[in-house]
Amino acid sequence: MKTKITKNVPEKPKTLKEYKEWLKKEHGVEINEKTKTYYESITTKVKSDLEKSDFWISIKDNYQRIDQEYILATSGYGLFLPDKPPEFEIKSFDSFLLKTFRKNVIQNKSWPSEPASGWILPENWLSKITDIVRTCFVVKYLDGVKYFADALCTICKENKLYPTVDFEAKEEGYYAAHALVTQIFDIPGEEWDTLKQEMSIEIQITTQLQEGIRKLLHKYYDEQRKKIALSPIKWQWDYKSDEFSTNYLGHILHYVEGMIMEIREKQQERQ
Amino acid sequence: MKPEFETYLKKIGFTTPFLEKAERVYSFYFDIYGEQIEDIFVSEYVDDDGKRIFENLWFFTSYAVMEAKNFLFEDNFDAMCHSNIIVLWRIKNTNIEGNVFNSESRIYLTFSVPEDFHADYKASGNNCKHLMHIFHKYIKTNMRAGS
Repeated sequence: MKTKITKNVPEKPKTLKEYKEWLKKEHGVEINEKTKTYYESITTKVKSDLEKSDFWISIKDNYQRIDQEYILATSGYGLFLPDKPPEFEIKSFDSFLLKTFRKNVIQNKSWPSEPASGWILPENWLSKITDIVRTCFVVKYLDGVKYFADALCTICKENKLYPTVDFEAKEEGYYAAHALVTQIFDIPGEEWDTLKQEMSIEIQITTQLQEGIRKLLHKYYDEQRKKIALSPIKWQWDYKSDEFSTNYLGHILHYVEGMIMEIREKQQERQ
Repeated sequence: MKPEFETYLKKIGFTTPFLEKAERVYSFYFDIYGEQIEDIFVSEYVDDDGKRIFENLWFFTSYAVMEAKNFLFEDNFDAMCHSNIIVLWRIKNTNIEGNVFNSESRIYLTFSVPEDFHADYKASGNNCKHLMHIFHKYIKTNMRAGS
């Protein structure tokens, strides 16, 4: 007779409160107001340094040029929606902590062992969470995503930065390019000193339609991220669920954008 | 191109790709009119997204006006004499108080000469002042006697 031996696997924390308790118990990490204040002082400094950097000044200086090159290349279609480059945004501490919760716990397939990429804890979390400071460029057409990603890479290289660009296409209907630009920043230490810290900045490039739906669904995704339990039915089959309509809307819009491109290119061929 | 022309074009938002196009148009007319070219104007408007759309590029001498239609995408050049032949002009202003222009200011200027020829100039924001300069220097002063 075979006996199934089951190990007593500790249950995953289900809420942020439980996660904070787990961090303290398992890793001796206490999350309190001081942690939040320190995070905010670092991110504010990084954002400020980034805005003054040669790289970002170069992006701003070349924004109109890239737009005008695209206009000429496409016989009159504009690349960007707004006239000015976007501002940098700082991920709030709550959102940052939630992301570590997702990576350490919710998405951790090796639980209770560490995830494949290791635990994300204060000693490494500034380098492991890559969108603490981020921005998003909005382009009008689908081909503009790659067009601007290429232009961005050129400017990065001119400034001795070597970004990695990922063209994301998620099952949940999310489409955008994410460029990660890694740099060493001087950040305030906890004892009035200055430390060198490697951090990645996330530059998203998305289309006007995707940006529209993203704003619309932002609240929905925020709620989704906090969920630990998975629905027993796949969202693709649960036509009454929020996921069904919102995720497919993302896919449909991407398809529509592809069709718009096809029509545009046909018109250009006729000219 | 004259440095003051380049300054004007940069001021209304031209960067290298569009400046190169304008330079090409200027060279074409310079071969014909040379140093007589005194002024430049770009007709443009602001679209629903708030972006400037550049249409036609104009150059002026004391007696002729040159137009490069849709100059960013076409080589479509013409010129006509404007000396004392303008029979009608019309100006439509938006968001202009006296001679004070702001980013919301818009001017639509049109003038006609005999034989059904007419010209349209559009300007927005900081281009409005320049269009009024063109109006005072080349249009108002070239009305046909008795018009």
